[in-house]
Amino acid sequence: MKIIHCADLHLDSKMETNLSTTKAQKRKKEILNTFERMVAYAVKNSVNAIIIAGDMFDTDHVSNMTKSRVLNLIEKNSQIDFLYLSGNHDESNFIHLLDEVPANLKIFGETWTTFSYQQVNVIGVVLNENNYSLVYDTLNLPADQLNIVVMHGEVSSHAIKNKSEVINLSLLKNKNIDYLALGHIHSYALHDLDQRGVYCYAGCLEGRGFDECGEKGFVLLEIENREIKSQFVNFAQRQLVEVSFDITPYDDWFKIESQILDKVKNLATENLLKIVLRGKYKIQLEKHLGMLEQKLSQFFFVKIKDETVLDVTNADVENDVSLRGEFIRQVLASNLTPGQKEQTILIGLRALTGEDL
Amino acid sequence: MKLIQCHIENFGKLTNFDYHFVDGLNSIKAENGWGKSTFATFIKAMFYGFSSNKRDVEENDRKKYAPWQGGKYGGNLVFEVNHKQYKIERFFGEKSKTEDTFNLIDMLSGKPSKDYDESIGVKLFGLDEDAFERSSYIPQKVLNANPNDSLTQKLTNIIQGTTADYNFEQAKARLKDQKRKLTTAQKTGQIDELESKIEVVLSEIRELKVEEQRIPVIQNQIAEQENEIEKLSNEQNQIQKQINAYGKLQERQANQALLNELSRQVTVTQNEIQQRQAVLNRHQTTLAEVDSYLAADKTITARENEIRGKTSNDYARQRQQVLTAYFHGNVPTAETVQSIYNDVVTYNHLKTQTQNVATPVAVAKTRFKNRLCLGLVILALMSLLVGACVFQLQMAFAIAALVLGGVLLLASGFLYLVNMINAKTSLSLNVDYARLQSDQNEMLRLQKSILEFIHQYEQNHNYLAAINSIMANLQEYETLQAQMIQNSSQVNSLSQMLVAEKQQIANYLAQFIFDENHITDSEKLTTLRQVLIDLDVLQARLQKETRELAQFKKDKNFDASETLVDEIDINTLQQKEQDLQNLIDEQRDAKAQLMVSLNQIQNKLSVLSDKENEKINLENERDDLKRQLFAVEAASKFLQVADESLSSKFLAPMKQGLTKYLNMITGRDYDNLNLDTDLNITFEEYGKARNVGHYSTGYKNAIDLSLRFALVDVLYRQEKPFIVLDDPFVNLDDTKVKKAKQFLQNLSQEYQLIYFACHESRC
Repeated sequence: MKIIHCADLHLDSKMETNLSTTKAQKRKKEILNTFERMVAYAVKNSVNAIIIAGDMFDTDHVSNMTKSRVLNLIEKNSQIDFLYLSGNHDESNFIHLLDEVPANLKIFGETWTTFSYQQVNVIGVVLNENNYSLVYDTLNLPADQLNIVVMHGEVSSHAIKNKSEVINLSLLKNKNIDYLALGHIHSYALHDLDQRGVYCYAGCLEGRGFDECGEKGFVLLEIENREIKSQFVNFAQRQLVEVSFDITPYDDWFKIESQILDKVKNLATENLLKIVLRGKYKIQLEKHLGMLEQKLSQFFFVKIKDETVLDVTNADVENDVSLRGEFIRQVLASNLTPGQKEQTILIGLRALTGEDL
Repeated sequence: MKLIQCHIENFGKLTNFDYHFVDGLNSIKAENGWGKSTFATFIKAMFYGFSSNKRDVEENDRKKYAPWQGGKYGGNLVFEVNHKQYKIERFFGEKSKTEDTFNLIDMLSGKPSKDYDESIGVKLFGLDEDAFERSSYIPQKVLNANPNDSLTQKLTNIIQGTTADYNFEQAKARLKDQKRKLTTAQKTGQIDELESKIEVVLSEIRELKVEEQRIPVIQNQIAEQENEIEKLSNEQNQIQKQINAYGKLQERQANQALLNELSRQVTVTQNEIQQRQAVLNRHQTTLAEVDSYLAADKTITARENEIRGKTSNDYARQRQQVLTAYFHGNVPTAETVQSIYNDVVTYNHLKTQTQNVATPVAVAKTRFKNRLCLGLVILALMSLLVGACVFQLQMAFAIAALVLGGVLLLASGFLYLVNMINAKTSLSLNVDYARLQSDQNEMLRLQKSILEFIHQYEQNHNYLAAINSIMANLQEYETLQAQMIQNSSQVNSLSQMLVAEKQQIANYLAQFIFDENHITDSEKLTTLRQVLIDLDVLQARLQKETRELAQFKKDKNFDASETLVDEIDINTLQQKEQDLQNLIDEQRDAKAQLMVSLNQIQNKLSVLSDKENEKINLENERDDLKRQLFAVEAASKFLQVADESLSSKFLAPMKQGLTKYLNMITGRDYDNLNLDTDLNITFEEYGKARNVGHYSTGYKNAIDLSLRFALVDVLYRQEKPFIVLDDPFVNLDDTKVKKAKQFLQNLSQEYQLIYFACHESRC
């Protein structure tokens, strides 16, 4: 028997990458398409059930197109059970608005809901403000059977008051759980729960922001001989990649540019790339950020975040009796924030030297 | 601080060049192209190294002064400061600072010194490289500058570290221009345009948000509809329960009736079984046994019939009585009767013969028949004639006449043929009248005998019939007499067997109880047989009915304790239920409408994230520009502040130095000199301020030079530097050159001067 564990699809949600409107719309469609590709993968590989461990949607602003495609996908593949647990972002009323819930769309409730298969039980519960502290006591699983438990929230080793999004791992230990299928964290993670079982975040199917970098996909569970084997399947159409570069050792922009280009030359161009420039630079260094962005335009999207800090202090200019030195001293002595000081100094010096502002 | 000596290994065009400096004035006569600037840059590079990263050769000293002949790039310089001599050794890489080497050697000990590091120039002079270069190197062009140039401009350039092309005023103008690009009072700047775009997007978002606010309202309405539907459904459920109860009641009643019927059937069957078991009287018997007795009973009946046939045959007895009366005690013998019979046969024969002799009678009869034939022919012809005649007049009558004629013709023909046959027969008879008489006599005798006998028993004059009757009666009479004797014997034997068998049956039947309607054993046995058959059927039926009853009870789950509702007005309830259903349907329709609205809003709101994304992008862009605007305004402000600060900081010492050096050059006092913060110089003469423009070029040059040294005084507060003068008096006349040289001599008391001149006259 095969089961797919996925979570946090966030269909129709806002992009967090400062994409242009056109690219943001394209990306939203790609995320929906990746979900459809995953179902096609399930069909091709004779998967029996797909666990969606929360946050299939992001808000209640879901387009008709998305709703109808998801519904059609479920109805069309009636041989696959879609085991759906709503998450903290699932306010779409997707289920509520359905005239008729397809027979293969099985929904976990706010008390433990069990879907039993020949080789395994899949048990899930939607946490809310009323039940989050009570569900642990009511979880009774047969020791002689394989048990997959589905929840949505952030794991913690201890209970936190009034936190329905927190899953208390301590209270799930020694409960005969073989695989704890989780949603909420957008990166894949697999850890031991106790001597018997593991807990796993499937991560999201596609990254939406640069806080969701790296491989994204789902977990394929193969259940055979009373054992659950899990395998992460990297499935995203595009990855978000963040490259950090410290410019401190360099006093020549061309060297910096060359080093960065060399660093990203092996990355797939369909990816979304974020270059973070870090470190300090001397006032003599002239940064060509626009040109760097142009050089990286083969990527689907490039964002250059300049976090470098101008390395200038009063000591540096105390012997500079020129207007430039006096200007820098005046700015450094002002009440401006460090960022404002830096930008003011750079603008002022460009003005003095006649460069583009 | 003073320079002692230097050695240039390779630096620009200079190779393996040594120079020993003296205190005070070092006059070096050198043609243009000798390498004065190279030498001056070498001295600066020894103190400051190369720091510029500029790619342009003209602006990048490292590239500009790379050795023309190749070889090791650099040299050393010995200097004295604070009564201590050091040697700086610097060698440069051709590409980057990382290849550079720096060594400082204490000349007294000959060992490396850590008193200064690579930034020795900054430490010694308190000025950075650029300021040092601009202040300690006095090129020709400064003093050769257009005398119309503002003095302020020149000094400002020196102080500000800018060239004439990029200066403070231009920087201010550039910042102002940039500010105007970003925002204007007319709202046409980049920020303003972004603000407009943001406002448009915000407006769209606000509209969507208004729509979004409808969602909870609609959701509440949907929830209310659902509550109402639930409430109505509950009410409907209650009514449906009542209707169901009514249905249940009806069903119960029907089931009860059915149950009663089933129970009744069971009871009936049980009664029927009891009735039949009453017959059996608790005795066991089988159908085979009964059948065997029935067979025996049939045998008895057959025997009784046989006896009865033998003893009580009414017909035989009646026949015997009739025959006894017939013969009335005079029963003839069979031979007698046979003899009479023979006589009758003979008599009849004779009689027939006698009758055939009467021929004339027969001929007369034949003639009559022939005439009849002729008459019929005539009549037929007449009929045919009449028919033919009237054929044209009356067809029906004619046809009838023709048919009649035909029939008559056929009848006459037939009669003729019969006569012909009879005539032939008559003609064959041979008449014997003698014999005829004898026969008639015999006939009379026989007739008498026959009549005597026959008349005892029969009155029939047909002798043959009478004698046959007598013969039959006699035969029957004799048979009956023989049978009566035989039957009597057999009846006795049969009667004995019959009694035994009857007794056996009676004994068997005595076990059972029959009602009074059953008289004969046969009836009893038949009844008994039927009882047994019935019992089999009834037992099976009872079992079936009992099973059905039990199953029925089980299926219908009869609970004796269950109370049935009272009689209900089902029509009212059904109407009420229908009304509620209509209300529910209305609420569902309303809910469906709300769902559609909700769906439409949600679909519309699906672009909200795009709009918010667009807004964020625009806001980010705007914020970047706002930050830029802030920086532009701040830079503008701080540049202004810096400019004013510099001016005020240098104003008093500059004025002091200016008057001092002007005095040294010209030998005059300048108590009437004024210097403002813009470095504008005026001289008060006769109560009126006169600016520099009113003075001669030579005087202006003197002012320039004075200002230069005044600036050096101001800038170098720690250690007095050496000053490099690159033939600054090239344009002065001999008188002024003389004064200038005297000025240098005087100045060399304070500064170590390295003075380059192309001509002997200026050395």
